[in-house]
Amino acid sequence: MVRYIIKRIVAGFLSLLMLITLTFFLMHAIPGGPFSSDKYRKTPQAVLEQIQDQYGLNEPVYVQYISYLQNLAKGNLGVSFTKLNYSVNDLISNGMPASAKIGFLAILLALLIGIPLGTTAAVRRGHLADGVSMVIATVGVSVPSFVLCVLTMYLFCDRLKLLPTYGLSSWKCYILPVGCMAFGQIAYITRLMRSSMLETLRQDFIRTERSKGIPELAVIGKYALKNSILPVITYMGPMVATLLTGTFIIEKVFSIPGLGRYFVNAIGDRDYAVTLGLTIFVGALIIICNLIVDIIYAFVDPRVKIDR
Amino acid sequence: MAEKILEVKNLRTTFQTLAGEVKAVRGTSFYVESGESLGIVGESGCGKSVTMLSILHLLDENARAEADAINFVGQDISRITTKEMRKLNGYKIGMIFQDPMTSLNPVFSIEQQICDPLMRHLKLNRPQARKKALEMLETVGIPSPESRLKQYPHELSGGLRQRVMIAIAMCCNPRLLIADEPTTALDVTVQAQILDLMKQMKEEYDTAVVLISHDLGVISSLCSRVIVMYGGVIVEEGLIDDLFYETGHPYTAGLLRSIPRGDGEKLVPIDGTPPDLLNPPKGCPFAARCSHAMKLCREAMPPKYPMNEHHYSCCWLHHPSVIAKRGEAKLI
Ligand SMILES: Nc1ncnc2c1ncn2[C@@H]1O[C@H](COP(=O)(O)OP(=O)(O)OP(=O)(O)O)[C@@H](O)[C@H]1O
Ligand code: SF4
Ligand SMILES: [Mg+2]
Repeated sequence: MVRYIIKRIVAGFLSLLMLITLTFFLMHAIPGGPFSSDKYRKTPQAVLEQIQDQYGLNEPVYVQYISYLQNLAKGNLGVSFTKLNYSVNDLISNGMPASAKIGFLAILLALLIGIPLGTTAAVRRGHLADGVSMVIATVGVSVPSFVLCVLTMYLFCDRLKLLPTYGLSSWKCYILPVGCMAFGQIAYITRLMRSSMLETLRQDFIRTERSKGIPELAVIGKYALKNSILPVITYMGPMVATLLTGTFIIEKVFSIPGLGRYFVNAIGDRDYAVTLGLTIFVGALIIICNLIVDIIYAFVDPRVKIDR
Repeated sequence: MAEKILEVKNLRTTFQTLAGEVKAVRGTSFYVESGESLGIVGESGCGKSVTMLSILHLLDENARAEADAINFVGQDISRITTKEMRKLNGYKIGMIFQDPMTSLNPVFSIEQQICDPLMRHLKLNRPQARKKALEMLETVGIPSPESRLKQYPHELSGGLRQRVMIAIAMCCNPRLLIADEPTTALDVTVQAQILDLMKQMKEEYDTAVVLISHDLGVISSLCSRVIVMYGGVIVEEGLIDDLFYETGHPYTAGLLRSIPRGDGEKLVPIDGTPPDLLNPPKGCPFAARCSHAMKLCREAMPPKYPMNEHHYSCCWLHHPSVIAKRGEAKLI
């Protein structure tokens, strides 16, 4: 087990290095730099040169690359080119708590609703419960989240005046963003769970459980569930990482001071340092989440041989 | 005479499919006496498994089973709900399935899989159940049971898994054990071991056994009485010797000719295929393949003709007027 984890950590580092390198050179390959947008048209050329020098943007790309890696090794993800005196680390520690809180609640909600809903749909296949949950699942997958955000905001905030439209000042503020974020995930997990549960219920060992006199509730909720939850566990890796780091649309619509906003703004502003820093951060998080998920998977499914 | 622990009266099972209604079992009646072993033999698809699964309420959702009565130890289990049936499953009636590779849950340890029915039916606590599970593994001849308990099915060979299945089925000391082709998926040497184990368990626990097989050889090594099924009905029933030496039904005769006898004689498989259960023939189901078939056979289902106290055959050849015209049929 320990050897497996070490091996996975090393592999994770290598993928991360590849991600850094690829993102770095791709960003630099795009024409135009952080100071070439319209905003800086009136800025004198000499001043721009001066600024570019200061950020090291006039150096050859490989020199920039090496110094970037050196900084990274010290845990420094770089400084923002467009937000004065802001480092990427600052942005993360500013935005992450709000994003993570919402993301965590959304994940919890998605699992708590998606797993039972998908299971019920599978068990009651062809009946009303199946139909209802499949409608929810289809709508959830096909309705874009901004439509959902705007619609729910209009309904609950504007019409019914039940919930606040922005910020995170009370528990009520969490309901809409968390709900909107979870909705698509609920839909996806429900479908995943339904199809994998249907597959499991076809297996011979389910008949064995029944022949042992296990009540149907335990056959489904214990013996079939542990088998059919495996694909959901796999999906958890990328899902947790992306939800924790926030979604731009939801943060924008509900004015949540989260990480997702910074990310999209940075891309628009050609803020290499922020884009790169956040990419690396999210990438590392995905790699870590996948590692954790694989370890959990190995615990749930004893057939996975990890010591080899 | 021994007590009948299971008595099935006129069992009919159908499956709703896209192609139509599959009439898998069409009115079977039989009984099992306490402590005896009954064999059910027949070609693939003739309804052996479906018959037993109907009795145990273990059919798929698209199935419908009806019976005039299914009496099990004084209770009509054809009328009880599936929920009530689960209190008998694994407790008073154990079942072993054909493929030990797929019949055990891959993500639960052997211990969890044996202990659950013990705790439910015998109301044992975890340590008691564990102790009982260890005893059972020992009884079914699993070496180092202590370490096997912690293992998962994929770590065991096919033979060991089937032993585990037997341990699970027998752990609550059931009145009746149903074994659905328990050796078909195993190597020949392992087959013999598992049959021996079943014989030993049957004696030790005085459990009645229903052994399903398409192999009369396997059946004869364990059972004293046999039911022959064809096309969803029972065509002949009798003691094993009656079937071998006083064969009543041409289909049984065909099965007997297809057993390897070891004297170098060539096997004679039965020509043709079993009837379509979507549209079963109204007469004798075997008529299309029977070399003795008469016009009457296609018209009407032959009734039971008793041949002795335990032995009957459903074939028009036993009708007095047919005998008068053709004489006693020589089937073998
Ligand atoms: N779920 C189902 N849906 C439709 N038809 C079914 C279903 N299960 C069984 N049948 C049909 O019922 C008939 C009897 O099947 P059964 O499994 O009892 O055969 P069997 O005698 O046990 O044969 P085998 O030796 O292959 O196990 C078959 O013709 C099969 O096609
Ligand atoms: S009833 Fe007719 S067709 Fe059927 S087995 Fe007897 S002789 Fe053959
Ligand atoms: Mg079968």
